[in-house]
Amino acid sequence: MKIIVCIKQVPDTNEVTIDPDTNTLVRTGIPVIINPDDKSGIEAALTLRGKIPGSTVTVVSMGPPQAEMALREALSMGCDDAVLISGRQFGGSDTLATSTIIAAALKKIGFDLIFTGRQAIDGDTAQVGPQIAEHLGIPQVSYVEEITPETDSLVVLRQFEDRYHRLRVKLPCLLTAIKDLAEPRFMTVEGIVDADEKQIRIMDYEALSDVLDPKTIGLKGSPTNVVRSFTKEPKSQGAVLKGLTADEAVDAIMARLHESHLV
Amino acid sequence: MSKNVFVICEQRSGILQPVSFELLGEASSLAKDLNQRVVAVLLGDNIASHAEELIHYGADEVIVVDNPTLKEYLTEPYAKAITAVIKAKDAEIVLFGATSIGRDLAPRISARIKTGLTADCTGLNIDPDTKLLMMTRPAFGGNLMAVIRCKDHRPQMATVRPGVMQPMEKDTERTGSVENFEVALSEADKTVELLEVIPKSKTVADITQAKCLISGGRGLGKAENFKILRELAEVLDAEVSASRAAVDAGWIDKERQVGQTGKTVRPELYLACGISGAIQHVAGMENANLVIAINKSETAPIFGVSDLGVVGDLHVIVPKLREAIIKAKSAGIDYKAPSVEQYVGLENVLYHVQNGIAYLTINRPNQLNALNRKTLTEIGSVADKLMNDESVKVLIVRGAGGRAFVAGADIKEMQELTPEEGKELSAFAQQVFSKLKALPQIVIAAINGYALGGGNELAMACDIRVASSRAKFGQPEVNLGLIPGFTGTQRLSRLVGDGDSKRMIFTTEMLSAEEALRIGLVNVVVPPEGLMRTTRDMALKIMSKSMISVKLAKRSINEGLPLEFQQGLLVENDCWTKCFEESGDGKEGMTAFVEKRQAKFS
Repeated sequence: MKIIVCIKQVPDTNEVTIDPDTNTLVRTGIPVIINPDDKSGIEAALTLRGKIPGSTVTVVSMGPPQAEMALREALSMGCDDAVLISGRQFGGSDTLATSTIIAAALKKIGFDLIFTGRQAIDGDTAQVGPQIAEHLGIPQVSYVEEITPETDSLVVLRQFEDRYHRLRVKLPCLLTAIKDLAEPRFMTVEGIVDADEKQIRIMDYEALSDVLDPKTIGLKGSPTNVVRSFTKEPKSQGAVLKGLTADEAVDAIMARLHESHLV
Repeated sequence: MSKNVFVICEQRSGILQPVSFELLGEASSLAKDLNQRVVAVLLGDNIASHAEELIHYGADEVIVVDNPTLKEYLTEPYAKAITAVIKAKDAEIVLFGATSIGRDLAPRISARIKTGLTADCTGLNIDPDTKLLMMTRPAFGGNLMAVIRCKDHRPQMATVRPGVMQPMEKDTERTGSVENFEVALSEADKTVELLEVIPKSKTVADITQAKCLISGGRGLGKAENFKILRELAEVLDAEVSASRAAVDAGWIDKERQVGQTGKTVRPELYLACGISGAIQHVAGMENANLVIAINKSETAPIFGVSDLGVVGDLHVIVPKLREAIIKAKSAGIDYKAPSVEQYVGLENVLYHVQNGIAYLTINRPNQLNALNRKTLTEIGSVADKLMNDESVKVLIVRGAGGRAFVAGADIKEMQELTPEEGKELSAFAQQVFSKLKALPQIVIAAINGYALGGGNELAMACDIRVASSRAKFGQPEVNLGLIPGFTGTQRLSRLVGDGDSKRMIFTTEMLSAEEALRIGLVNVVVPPEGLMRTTRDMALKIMSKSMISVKLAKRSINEGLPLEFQQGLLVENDCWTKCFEESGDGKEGMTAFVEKRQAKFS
């Protein structure tokens, strides 16, 4: 079984800070990581490979040349090969254009099963996975928490806010992974050494030009665009009381609850 | 040409989900700006009986796709049915809830139709010039807000964060049409096989609907310590929620997580216990009415967004707080008081005071807060009360509901007036608005939506006007054979000048917030979600100054404005002199300046 894992290199949003003087996002010096949901996808793919003899795991990322780092990390975790979709023509793509490009690449690479993360922590859109599935005309299951392989299908547990669905889905299909799906393994020393010897295949615009309509990619091929962005105004701060005894603290809280008629 | 605002309503096991009503409320305001209709799309099996309820919450039309294949949510049958509806009806805008269903379904449909989709929006409005949907959403874990549009593709699609938009009041008198829409669906459309539906074992309360939340974080230390929060929640009639740290530690169910990757809540009270307040957490709770934080570290960022912060040990404070509440309750006082202070006799306005700021909310959202005599009377009585209330420094005037500040006077009430009665009503309203203008407090209007006719006149009776970017301004009286009569002709011309006041009144054209800003009718324009915060911050900034001086400056401007320049200077001279008197703050202010310390104003 040919398993694909789509990953994205993202800034660690836990480390993002706002410059208090300019009230803008500090973009330099933020560590980049493999998107956490995508990492669960890698782990799930590697686990499945162990259960189904003859399987391979190909990790795919679209992004600037620096995204190679994320692919190297995935290889070090044990993925078999890696593809970087990268090209100046792809820049400025929104989710629809991005999914169009990735779907075109996946058609060339070939697949039986595709993993994406549920959502990336920088954009939080959760859109590219289902959009890839639609472009490829294969079924999708989002928010997957558990996978049991069968002969030519998978039984998966799909999470909702209030329930689960146990679903059988035939291959080929696309699954979006959530954190609960799998705890990612760490890179091993052997893995890192092996990864160093592996070539990362680059797919640029030329490589996909026979299957891509240039009008559907990049900034021009994106139906949505960002008009402006702004940082949120910080909520103004109220009083902070310190050095109180527990009873005084309780009195202060009670006074506020009274004031707002909550008691 | 594409038209109408479509809401994909979500039902689970035949029960309409709250997000559907929230979306209808938001769609109503968008549809109004576009002069189009709200169309609710309802999918399911044996579901048609719910159509009426959707109309009561704002739908003008309901399209029902009733099919056994749609009994339980599955991506493909739902995507196929909704695509058919969108194409057949040529929708302009389509809104989905950003739930685990909507976020699976909407991208699939967007890729099928090849149109844009904006995820997880927290603000929507119509650009007054281009009539495009402007979609605001958080990115970078809530660090950044982006405004996104979909210019050339239709429909414009968005998923909207549950718990953010306001539903309309249910109105059982509302009417609308219901259409049964046939889509050929069969078992073959199920591209996945549903083997089993497993309800989540615990019946988890919906924290987005709770009035009060007691929330726990890493500072609780271990799962067992949530017990003290649960006990406190019990006596406060609250629910327990948590930060991501507590959820990730496995101390509490994920359904109770507040924040960027959890749920957005806006309860009356958010009591944060041992929560540090990472920006991702704050993104989910910052709209709470009252935030109280208990944390042992005085540098915890949560204090930056709290109305009250207590540095201390929650393990001691929380149990004691519970005891205090039980004691207060057993003292025989009726503690079931509403969260908003209601003075006797006040029905059409709400009035409450927090931190020295009074809030006057015109509260007739179903009538777009139209001013009738009763409402005017109540505004007058609040003004009377404030005249002698030294504890209140700033009054913020606002409209209830998401759509209007005040959309005008109550026409029905004025229809049959005789000339004498008309004269009396105008004189009465003029007197009320003049009273507001003359208050010793600083009066700020927070204008969220329509400020038309009497509404614009009310806004002008305030000292400063802060407007949401979606607010609209107009004086439509001549459409009705009237003229502005609640101070409008006099105040508008003095405020924006001869030509612009006449243009507004003669043409009755509505002004966007931007244009109102340009001509000086409003003073600040902010994105809709920043309105109350900006207004309150302005109030707090004013309150940090010498209030005696601020009030004297207000008096000097107010009293000088109608006078000749030279006479105005006499008023100024008089007010200036008062700064130097014993009761003035001038001495302390200037001494502190010279001594390079913070002034302590009386």
